Amino acid sequence: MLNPSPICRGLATLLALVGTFLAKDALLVASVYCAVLVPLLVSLRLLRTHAKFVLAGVLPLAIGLLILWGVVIGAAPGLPHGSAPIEGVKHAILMSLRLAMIAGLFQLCLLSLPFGELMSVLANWGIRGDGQILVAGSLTVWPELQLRAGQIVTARYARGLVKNRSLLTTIRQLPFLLRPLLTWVLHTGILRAELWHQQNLIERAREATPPKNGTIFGNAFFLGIAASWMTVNVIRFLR
Amino acid sequence: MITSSSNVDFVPKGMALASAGEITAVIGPNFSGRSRFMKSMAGLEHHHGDGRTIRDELAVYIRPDVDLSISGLRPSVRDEVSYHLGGNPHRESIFKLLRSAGLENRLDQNPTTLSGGEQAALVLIIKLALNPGLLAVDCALEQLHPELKDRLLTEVKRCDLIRTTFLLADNRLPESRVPIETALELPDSTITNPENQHDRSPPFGHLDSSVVLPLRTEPTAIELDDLSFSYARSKPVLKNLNLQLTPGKIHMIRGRNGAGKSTLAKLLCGVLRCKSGAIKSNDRKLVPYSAPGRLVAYHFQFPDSQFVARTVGEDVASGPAARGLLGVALSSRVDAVLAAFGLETLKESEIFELPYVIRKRVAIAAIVATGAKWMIFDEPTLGQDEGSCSFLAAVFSQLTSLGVGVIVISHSRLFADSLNGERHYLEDGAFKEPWSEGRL
Amino acid sequence: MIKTTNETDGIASQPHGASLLPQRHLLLAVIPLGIALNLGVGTTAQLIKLPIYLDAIGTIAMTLLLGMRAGILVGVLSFLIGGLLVSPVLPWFSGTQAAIAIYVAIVARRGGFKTTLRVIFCGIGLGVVAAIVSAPVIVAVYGGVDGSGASVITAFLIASGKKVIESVFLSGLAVEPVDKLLQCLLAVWLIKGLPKTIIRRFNGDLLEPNNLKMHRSPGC
Repeated sequence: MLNPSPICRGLATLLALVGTFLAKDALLVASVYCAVLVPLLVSLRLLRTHAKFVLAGVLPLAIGLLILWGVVIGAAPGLPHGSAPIEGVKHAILMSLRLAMIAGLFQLCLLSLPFGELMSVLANWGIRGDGQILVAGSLTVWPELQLRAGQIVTARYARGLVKNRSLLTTIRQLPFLLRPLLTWVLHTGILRAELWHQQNLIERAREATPPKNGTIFGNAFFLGIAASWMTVNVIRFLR
Repeated sequence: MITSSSNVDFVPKGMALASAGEITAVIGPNFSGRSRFMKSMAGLEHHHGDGRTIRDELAVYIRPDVDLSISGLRPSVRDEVSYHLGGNPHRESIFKLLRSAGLENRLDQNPTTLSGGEQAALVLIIKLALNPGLLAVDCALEQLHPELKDRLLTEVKRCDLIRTTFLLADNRLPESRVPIETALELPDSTITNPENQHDRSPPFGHLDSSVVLPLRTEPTAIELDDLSFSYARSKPVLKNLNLQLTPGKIHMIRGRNGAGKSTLAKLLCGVLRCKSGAIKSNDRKLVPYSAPGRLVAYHFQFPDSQFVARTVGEDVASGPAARGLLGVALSSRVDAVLAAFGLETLKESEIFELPYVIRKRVAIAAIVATGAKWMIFDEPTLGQDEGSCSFLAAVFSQLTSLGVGVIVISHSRLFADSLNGERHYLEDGAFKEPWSEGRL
Repeated sequence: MIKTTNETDGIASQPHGASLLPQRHLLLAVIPLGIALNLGVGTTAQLIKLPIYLDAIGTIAMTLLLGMRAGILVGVLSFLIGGLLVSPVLPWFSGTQAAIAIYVAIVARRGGFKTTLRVIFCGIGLGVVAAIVSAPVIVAVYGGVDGSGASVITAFLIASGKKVIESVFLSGLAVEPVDKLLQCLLAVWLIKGLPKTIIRRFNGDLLEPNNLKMHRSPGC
C-alpha cells in the first residue's frame, strides 16, 4: 500500500539525503532516525541488514570519531584545540548519525524492492540497456563469487594442501585464492558472453519493463516526510 | 525434419538427422566428434569460414558443465525462469516441469548455489523456456538421478515443449526407461576434416589400466559413529549415521539429488566438521581433523572447482608433494598416474584449455596420485564413455588391491554393477537397507 | 554505455570458435565479475585485518585487461554496490577508484608496468594520487577519520597541531604509496599467471606495452 512510484521514490530519497547532509543538530537527527527511519526499516524487513551494517561499519567509525574529536582535538571544528570537548563529542555523534542515516536511506530506497521491481525502478531513472545489465549482473554474481572462493579453499583442504584449520593458516590461503579467483572471473566472463551471444539473452533484458505506478498515498507519504525533513534542516542551516 | 547441410561437413549431405517433437539420441564414444557435431548443429562452431549458422531459429547447446549455462543476470531461480520465459506461451508446462524437478522450494535461491543435479534440471527447463528451434544437450543430464531424468524427459515429450529438434548425448541413456525414437550414431571415423587443423581430435593417449600405480598403503578402517550434520540454520542433512568402512574394498553410495551424499564426502574428508557423533579409525577419533584431506582425498563432482594449479602436471603433483613426496619418487608417481590416464602428452597443458571429458580425468588422476589411504570419487564417470568407465572400474579395483579404501558416489546403475563392491543407499540423511532397484 | 567498437577498450576476436563474439558482450559479462572480485577481496582483507587494503586490486587488473573505461566502471560500481552491502565507508571513495583507473591507464599506455622497477615507481605514484583524491572526502564526509589504519596517524598529526585537511593528506601519503605499490605488484603477478587461452581473448592496448602477454611465471 505504501508503494511510491519510481520517480517519487528517487525524489524522496534525494530530498531526505540533502536534509541529512545539512543537518546540524544531533538530537534532531537521532530522533528522526529512531522515530521514522527505523520503523520503516522494520516494516520492510530490512532491520537485520541495517543493524549488521551499523554494527560492522558505522560503530567502529563512531568510536574513532569520538576519540578524535572528543579526546585528541577536544573541540568542534573551527574552535581551538582542547577548548570544548563536549562540542567535539557532539560533532562526532552528529557525523556518525548522519552516516547511519544516509546508509539507511539508501537501503530503504533500493533494498526494499524485489529484484524485478528494482530493475523497473532503475529503468524509470534512466538506467537502461547496458547499464541495467551491468547492475543486474553485479547484484547477481556476488553469491557466486563467495561460493567460488569457498570452493577454492575447499579444494586445497580436500587435496591435503592446508596443514591445519587455524585462523593463521586460513589467512595464508589468501594469495592462493587470488590467482584461481581472477582466472575464474575471466573464464566465466568469456563463456558467459558466448552464452549470451548465442542464445540472445542480452536482448531479453532489453525488453521493456512496464512502468510501475505507486499509490497516491504512498507517493504523498514518502514525499511529505522527505520534504519536511529537508525543509526543517534547510531553515536551521540558514539560520 | 532437418537435414544436414554443407555447413556440417562431417555428416553426409542430405542425411536425415532428426525429426520434430522427438528426442534424438546422439551416440558415440568420447572424441568421436559428438560434442563438435552438437555444437555445430546449434550454430556454435562455424565451418568453411562462412560464419552462418544452419538455421535462423534459436538453437541452444547445453554444455556438460551446466553451471556455465546459467545467465548470471538474475539472482534467484524464480527470476531466472521468468527471464528465460519472456512471452513464451508454454508458461504452465514450464512451471509443471519445475515442480516435477523438485525445484519449487528452491525458487528464492541463487541459481549458481544449487547442487549439481538441481542445476542440471534447472538449465534444461530454462533452455526449454527459451522455446528454441533446436536443443542440443551434451551430457548435462548425466548428473540427474535416473528416476528424475526419466520423469523430466517423459514430461518434456508429453508437454510438446520440443518445437523441432531435441538432440541428447548421454552416456547413461542405456539405463533410461524413456523410449528414444531416433538414434544417431557417430563412428570414430567421421571427424576427419583437414581444413580445421585445430579442431582435429586432440593428441590424447589412450587409457591404460595395466599401468601399475606406484602406491601402497597400510589398510585403515574408518567407522562412522552416530554421525549427524546440518548446515547453519537449516534442517539436518545427515541423521545418526553408523557405518563400518572396511579398507581394500570399493564402497558405493547412491541416493537422490540432495540426499546428503556430497555432504558425507566432505565430512569424511574433513572439509566440513560434524555437529555430533564421530568418525573413528582404529578406535581413535578422527574428528576434528588436524589435517583435512590427508587420510581421505576427495574428487569433486564439478572438476573445475577442484583444480589447485594451472597445468595438468602441477595439479597432479600437488597432492603427493603436500604429503612430503620429493624428487624422483614424486616424478615417477606423477608420470605413472599420467600414463595410466593417457595424459602424458598433456603434462604441460593448461587445464582450462582441455575439454570437459579430459578435465574430469585430470581431476580423478590428481586424487589417485595423492596416494591417500581413502579416496572418495563423486560421480567419476560424468561425460565418460563405456571404455572410459571400464577403465575407471579397473583403476578403482587396482587401488583396493594396493590397500586403498575407495568410496564411489554415482547415480549410474551400470557403473555400480561393474564395480562389485559394498553398496550403501542414502535416503533422507540415513542409510537404508537394502539397496534395491525398485527404490531408485 | 559501452560502444561496440572501440580501439582502446579492445578485446580481439579469438582465433577460432565463436569468433563473432561481440566485445560488448564480453565487457558486460566480465565487468560484474570484476566488481564482485574487487569487493570480495577488499572485504576479506578488511575482515581478517590484513595490513594492506587490497581494495583496488580488481580495478587495477581490469583496467590493464579491459581498458580505462571498463576499469572505471569496475571501480566505481563496486564501491557504490559495496556501500549498500558491505560498508557505508565505500561509496564516498568511488572517485578515488575512478582516479586509480585513469592513472593506471595513462601510465600503462607508456609501458609503466613493463618491469618490476617501473611497477614500483608507478605504484608509489598511484599512492600519491589516491591520497590526494581521498583527502577531501575523508575530511568532508568523515570529519577526519575513516576507520582505517591511517586514522591513527591522522589523529597524531592533528594532536601535534596540524590542520585537519593537512593531517589527513599527510597520513594518506604515509600509508597509500606502500599499499598501492603492493597492489600493483600483485595485479601484475596475477595477470602474468593467467592461462594463455584466457589472456589471448583480451587484446586491450594496455597489455602489449607492458609485456603482460608474453611473460610466464610458474603457477602457484
